[in-house]
Amino acid sequence: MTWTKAGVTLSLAVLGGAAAVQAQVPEITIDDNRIIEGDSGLRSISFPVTLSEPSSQTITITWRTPGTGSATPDVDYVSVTSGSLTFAPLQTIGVVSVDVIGDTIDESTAQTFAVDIVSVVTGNATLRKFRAIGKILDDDKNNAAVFYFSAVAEGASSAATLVTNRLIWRVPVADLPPTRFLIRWSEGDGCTPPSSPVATPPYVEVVANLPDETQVYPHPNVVPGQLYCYSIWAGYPGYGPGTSLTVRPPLDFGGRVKWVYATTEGGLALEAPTVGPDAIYTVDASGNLHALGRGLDPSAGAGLWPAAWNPETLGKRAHFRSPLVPLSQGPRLFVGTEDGEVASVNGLNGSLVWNTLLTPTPVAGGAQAPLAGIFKVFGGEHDMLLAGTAALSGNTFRALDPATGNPIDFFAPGLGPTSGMAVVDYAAKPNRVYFTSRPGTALETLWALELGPLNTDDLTELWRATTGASDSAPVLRGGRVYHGDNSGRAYSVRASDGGDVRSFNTSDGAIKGYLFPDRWSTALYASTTGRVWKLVDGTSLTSDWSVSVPSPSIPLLWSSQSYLYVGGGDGKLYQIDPATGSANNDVALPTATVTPLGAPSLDIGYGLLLVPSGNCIFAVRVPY
Amino acid sequence: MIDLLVLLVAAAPLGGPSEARAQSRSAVARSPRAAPIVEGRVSGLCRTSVGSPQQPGRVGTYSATRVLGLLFRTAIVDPAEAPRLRLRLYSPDGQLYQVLKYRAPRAAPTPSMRRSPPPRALEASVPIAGSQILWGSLYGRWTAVTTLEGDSGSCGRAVSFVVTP
Repeated sequence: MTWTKAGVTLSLAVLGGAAAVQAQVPEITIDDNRIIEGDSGLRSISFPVTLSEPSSQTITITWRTPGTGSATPDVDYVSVTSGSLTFAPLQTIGVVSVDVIGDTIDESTAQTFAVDIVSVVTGNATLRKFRAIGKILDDDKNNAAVFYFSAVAEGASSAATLVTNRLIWRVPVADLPPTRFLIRWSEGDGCTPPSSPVATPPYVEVVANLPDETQVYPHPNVVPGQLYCYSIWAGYPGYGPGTSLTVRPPLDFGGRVKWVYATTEGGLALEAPTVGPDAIYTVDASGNLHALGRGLDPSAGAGLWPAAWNPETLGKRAHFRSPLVPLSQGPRLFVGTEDGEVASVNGLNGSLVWNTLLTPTPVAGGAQAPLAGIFKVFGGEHDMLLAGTAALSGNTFRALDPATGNPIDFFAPGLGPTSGMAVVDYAAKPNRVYFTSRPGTALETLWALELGPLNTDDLTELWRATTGASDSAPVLRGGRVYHGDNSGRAYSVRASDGGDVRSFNTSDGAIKGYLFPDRWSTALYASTTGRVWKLVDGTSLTSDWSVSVPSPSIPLLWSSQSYLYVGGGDGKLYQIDPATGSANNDVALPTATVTPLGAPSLDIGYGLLLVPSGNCIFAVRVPY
Repeated sequence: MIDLLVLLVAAAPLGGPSEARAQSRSAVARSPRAAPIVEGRVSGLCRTSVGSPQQPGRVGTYSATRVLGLLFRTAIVDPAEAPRLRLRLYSPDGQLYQVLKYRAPRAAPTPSMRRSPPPRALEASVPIAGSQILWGSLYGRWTAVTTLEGDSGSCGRAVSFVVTP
């Protein structure tokens, strides 16, 4: 037999039966537990107490409830001032128990109390975890609210055609997972969502799926063009806080609006959707990523949340474009949030792959620039994510590894804040990136960097130009870089050296987002505060036409169909003839109230224009 | 051998009364089109102000093409409520634009503030440069309401400010 000082592993061997016991000093742990309260009487909640090692000795501990926690001693549970527990030799598991007092009072939240091991009164043992938390789960009311409460409403060309509102939500993960849901609604203009969870018609009760699953209730036979106000409550068995949603199934002459997706999470913030191979993605005001099935027909899954998609909460609002990039390991969404984080999300199931924080972070600054990327799978010489920062000072332009989020290189020659997405030049060798900024200690606002050379991931300045302060993104066409500045001036700059600067002043406020280039001509399209412009870049940059549109969105050109689409601040979608600027073919989208339309996206495969508006996305068949 | 181990344990809070208080205010059904200010439910727990580092001398009116963003600062009367505050921003036409979490400010309190502990201050920053405010021409008078998490009622007076091109 050998031994050393207490608390240190010993080589002491004690024979107990057939087994040899290593005589380490055992450590004692008491584990947490939870119990459903019940309506009356006493229920016993047990707390496992374990020894890390068997001991040859009898070990006795004392324990008590110290009165700590939100539960009230002798009201919510029977307090214990002095309890004891004895472990026989070689016994490693024991239990202490406390009685919980049932009631029918809605405590609104789970209550907690502590159980402490006070001392070891016999035997040689030390404490690893001396406190357990008992949680009394209130079954008088479920505190979980559903989230991502959304609806896909089918469009129709006639009010006589009854359609379906498909309500979608996520089953909350809660102490007591809900067993059922109550859905109530009212209808008609001016309706308000029901405010109390009472089973008063019209209503429906739905059995709950497993927690964290998407659940769908198809509300049949609704009237197109009529407003519906829904509320939903999760119950176990009592109902918790409700969540409400308003949706108007589109009634559109000709059936142009195929479906509308409405969500509680949006606010005035659903961004131009990104169209991926299987799904449509967008981000809401609270930084939640939404995924919707592609297609025309909601009954076939168009606009519905994909079953396999687990929503990712970024925690902060993201940007007007979230690039979707197919890498060898599957589709990835790369999203930059306004507070400076960059996230990589699995495009198949919504799970977070990695996230990282760019520095300096934009505290009281502008929106962190959206991410651009260059990828070898597309013919690039590098795999890089590229974005600038938008802080008050010390700004950088950064390259990240898209597989890991790890930094590759950065560029910081006195840059001002960068809020617009960069554009990558795959054709130039070495590859290049162009981006804009506001002035910093360096006064230039348009930047060209070389990436590389080949197999060398460096950011090296190629040229810089002093154009106007800009929060927008440059675009590249025909060997020239185009961008608009915050005073409304558009620029055309030679991409190779930053020379031959041409400009045109719209004198109508900032140019929004980016100039949309026509790849088949010398035209570009722009939106300013109250007008949409066609610019032509010949030997100089000039205006061909401009047309008045109230608070126009960033434009979208469908060049093969020769249509320009712009969302208006008046809730109308404008289809403009690029040749003449004629904008008389507009359609008012059936929002619950007149809501400004955001920048549209085009799903060429289905001929659908996806138009964000408030907390909705409209799928509009184009051209019309 | 008998070891007697006496534990001197400081009682740790396990979800104190402030948590229970906040959760008891959980809202019932809310409309996403709810009015930005809920009359009669202002609790006076916080005082919110707004400013911009790029236009420090200007109060209440900010140019979207000059400022980078706005900084909201809320002084908390009851510090126990602080972690649960949200900033709800409403656009000029009264629609919800963004919901932000307040965070502790980066700067430490000055020594002079220690003498009489003031209400705890939290901050939330709202980007304007490169945001939908610029791209959507969302110019006009905005309203900012500070609320407790999960509650549509204001915890203090709403703040209004004007964003210009």
